[in-house]
Amino acid sequence: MKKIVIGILVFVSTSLQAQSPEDGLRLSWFAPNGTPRSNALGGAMGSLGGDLSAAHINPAGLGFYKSGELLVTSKYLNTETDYKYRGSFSSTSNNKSTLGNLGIVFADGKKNRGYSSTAFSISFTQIADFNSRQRFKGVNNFSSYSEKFLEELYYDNAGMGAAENNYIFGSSLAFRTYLIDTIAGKNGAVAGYQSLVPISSGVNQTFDSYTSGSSNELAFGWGGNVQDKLYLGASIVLPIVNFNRSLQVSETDLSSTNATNQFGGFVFNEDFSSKGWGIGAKFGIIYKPESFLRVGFALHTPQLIGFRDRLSADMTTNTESYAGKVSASSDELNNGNAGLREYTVMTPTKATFSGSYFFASPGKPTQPLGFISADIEWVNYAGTRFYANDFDQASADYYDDLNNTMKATYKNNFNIRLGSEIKLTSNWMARAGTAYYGSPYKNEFADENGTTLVTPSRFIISGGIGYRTNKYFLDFTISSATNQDAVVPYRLIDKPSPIAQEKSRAVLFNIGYGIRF
Amino acid sequence: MKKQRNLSLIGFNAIVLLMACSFFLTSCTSLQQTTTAATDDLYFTPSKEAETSTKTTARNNAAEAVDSVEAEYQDYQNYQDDRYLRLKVANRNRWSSIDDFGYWNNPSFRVGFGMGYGGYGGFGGYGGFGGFGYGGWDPFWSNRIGWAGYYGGFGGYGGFGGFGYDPFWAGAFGYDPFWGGGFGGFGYDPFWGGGFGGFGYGGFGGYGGFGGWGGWNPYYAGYWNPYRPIYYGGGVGNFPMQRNNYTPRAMQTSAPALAGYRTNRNYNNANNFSNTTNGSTRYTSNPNLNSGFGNLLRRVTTNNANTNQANSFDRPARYFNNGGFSNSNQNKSSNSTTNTNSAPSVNNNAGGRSGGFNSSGSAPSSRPPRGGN
Repeated sequence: MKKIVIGILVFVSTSLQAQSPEDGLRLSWFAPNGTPRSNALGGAMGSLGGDLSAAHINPAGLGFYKSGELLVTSKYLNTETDYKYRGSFSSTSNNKSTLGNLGIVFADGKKNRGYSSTAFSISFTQIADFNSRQRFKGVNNFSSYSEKFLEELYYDNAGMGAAENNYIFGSSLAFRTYLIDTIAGKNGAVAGYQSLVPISSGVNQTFDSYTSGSSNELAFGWGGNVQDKLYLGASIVLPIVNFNRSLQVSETDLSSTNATNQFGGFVFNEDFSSKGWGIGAKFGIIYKPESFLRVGFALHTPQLIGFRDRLSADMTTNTESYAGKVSASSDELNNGNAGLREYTVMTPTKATFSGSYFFASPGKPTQPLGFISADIEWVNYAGTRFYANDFDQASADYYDDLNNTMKATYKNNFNIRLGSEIKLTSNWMARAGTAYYGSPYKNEFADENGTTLVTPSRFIISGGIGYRTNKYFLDFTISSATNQDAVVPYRLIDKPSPIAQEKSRAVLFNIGYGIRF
Repeated sequence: MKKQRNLSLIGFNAIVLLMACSFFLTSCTSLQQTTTAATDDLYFTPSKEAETSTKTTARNNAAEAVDSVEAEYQDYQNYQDDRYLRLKVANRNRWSSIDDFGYWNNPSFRVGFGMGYGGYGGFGGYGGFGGFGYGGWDPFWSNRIGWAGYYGGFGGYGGFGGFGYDPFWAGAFGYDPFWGGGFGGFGYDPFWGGGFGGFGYGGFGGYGGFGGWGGWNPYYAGYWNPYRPIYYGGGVGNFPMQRNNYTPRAMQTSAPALAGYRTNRNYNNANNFSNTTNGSTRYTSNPNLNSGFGNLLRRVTTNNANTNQANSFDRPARYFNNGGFSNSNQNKSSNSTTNTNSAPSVNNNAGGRSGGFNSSGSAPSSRPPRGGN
């Protein structure tokens, strides 16, 4: 199952299957979008504050607010992606403009009840954009997409009745259209399953996936400032996720004129949507031991997100003289309805350690001319957990397996963010930032010779300018992200799984306008 | 795709134009401000002095030693007393059967009351101190929190635990008679495997607001149990969280796709090696390996009048009981199936949960007969 996430730049390596560990990774491995100021600083906002992104990164930063603020931002993202699949190269492009942030901060800048100031915020932020097009193709004489259906039936020890009716979103469609069929054994018994794909002569494979939707957060944040030294904050976060994918997989005979090998081709279509919302919390603290130094810590609790998924699939196969051209769809096997699945995901904990240094001219030490800031974020990508929403044993067993697979597939890792801002004048500011997101995978994508094919990573460079008065401010940011990832179109147990090497460049234009009150 | 790009650009440009208009419309007043440095909360802006209210001044005159926090809290107490007295004057017997003023108005207890789910919270309600640390666990009432069940609700205790009542930083987290108490009760407990203590958000006036959710215990709570989904149950009484007859299995039904993640970590992005000298094909991209992929294939021969087209080829296959193959026996011809081992036992009830979906057809039927030759 391909899950691509492009936020400022998010790519999640994926396999094009039904539910898989990538469903969990999609919710955790991304460079979160922030405000234009935050994006320009590479997201290194953990110890800064005074920006609406604080509610989503370190709520203690809200404690820096002494005046109210209303912010609206927009972003335009252009992504170019190259694929290398079995010696063939292909490219896709995608672009989208969306609302980035919308939020308001109510600040009480007066000293009150032990606090030098307090602030409350309500903000809505798109943290990841799932809009993406992924398309690659190549000739394959090593394995066939149909083998994943073979393996499912084989490892389930499925009889013909099960093959016909108990895998209506995949293997049953392949079985009903004769893409796969039984192998007759003694006395008509099922000795095994075969695919009609003439793998030894090779087939043309095409994978085309279009994803849309986004992951958003509605946050209610509070921050307090104690003696301009200690800042505390917390936010209740309501994640809202909408993900849609339209997938088409096809394999066709290498020789279109060869009508004697009992295979012309097949097309498999899958429409999948996943919608969910949930709750989580973020807590933070920032300490300012000196006017030029800040250190911060933020903890993002796991978010509990309830999902409702819908899935439909259909397949058309032409096996020429074997069974002709046959079609089947999951809807017709399910009284015209899409498949439904309800479950809850608990996203992993994130912890961020931050520090920033403010520099000033020697003559005016209390009037900083800029700063440099750094965040180190720890994420337990293997910590994502799925839970069944019903009390069905088979369902719970599946999620048991899925959770174990998550632990076996992913690992902890650190993400690093750096950013700097310089005051050009009393109103103009220039910013620059960078970020590096390491691989969340426990094992490298290596071939059978041990050669690493892909080392997933994400690297971001950003820059921007800001103009600020006492009444309003305007920020503009350009960010460029380079992503490397692997796409696994289908996974096999008995053979090495095929892999597509993916490299993408995403350019983000981000503009924000805020009113201070 | 081109149309979509144009629409995206139009949308983005429209927003930029809107911002630009707003920028210039407000610039008349802002030009004057550019002559002075703009305040920026990210850097530092001085706090304003607190306003002194008439009420506070009067109170200070009466009892200057009383702290304003305590004074407001006392106001709140007086208000409660007044309401209670009015109630009793109106009708002495109303609600008397459940009346226990001292019980319900115990200030230490009231904090917890209402902060939890279902009215009997407990997070942050009783004790707790410090912004971090002890999280206001109430041994008497916390069990009532959440749907984690009777034994749930240990979140907020221990470890990095909880934001409960904090007498030093009142208002930040926990009980505060004015702000009502921030966020009460996220807890992580390293001893009990990580309770998720829930969120108790205090409202105004000393009563908690909504929240008090969660409290799961990996051993008892069941529902959010990372080790055994809904194993012991928990729940109160016969609340249907219990799952009996749990039988662990090595390989779950319909999870072969997941097994592909765990059991096979090899990937491949090259086609099979073909030896042009003798025409043989090795079923691996590595010519130095003689992989046994042959037992995953089935040799098929078809009738073919066209001698220019191959009438013999391999299909992917999986044989139960391995079909009598060995690695040295690469390709198996289609007419040799009569030599297989004893007929395997297959299960016509297999599957049903492919990919996590209920994948059993609701209108079972048979596949159409082969339409080909």
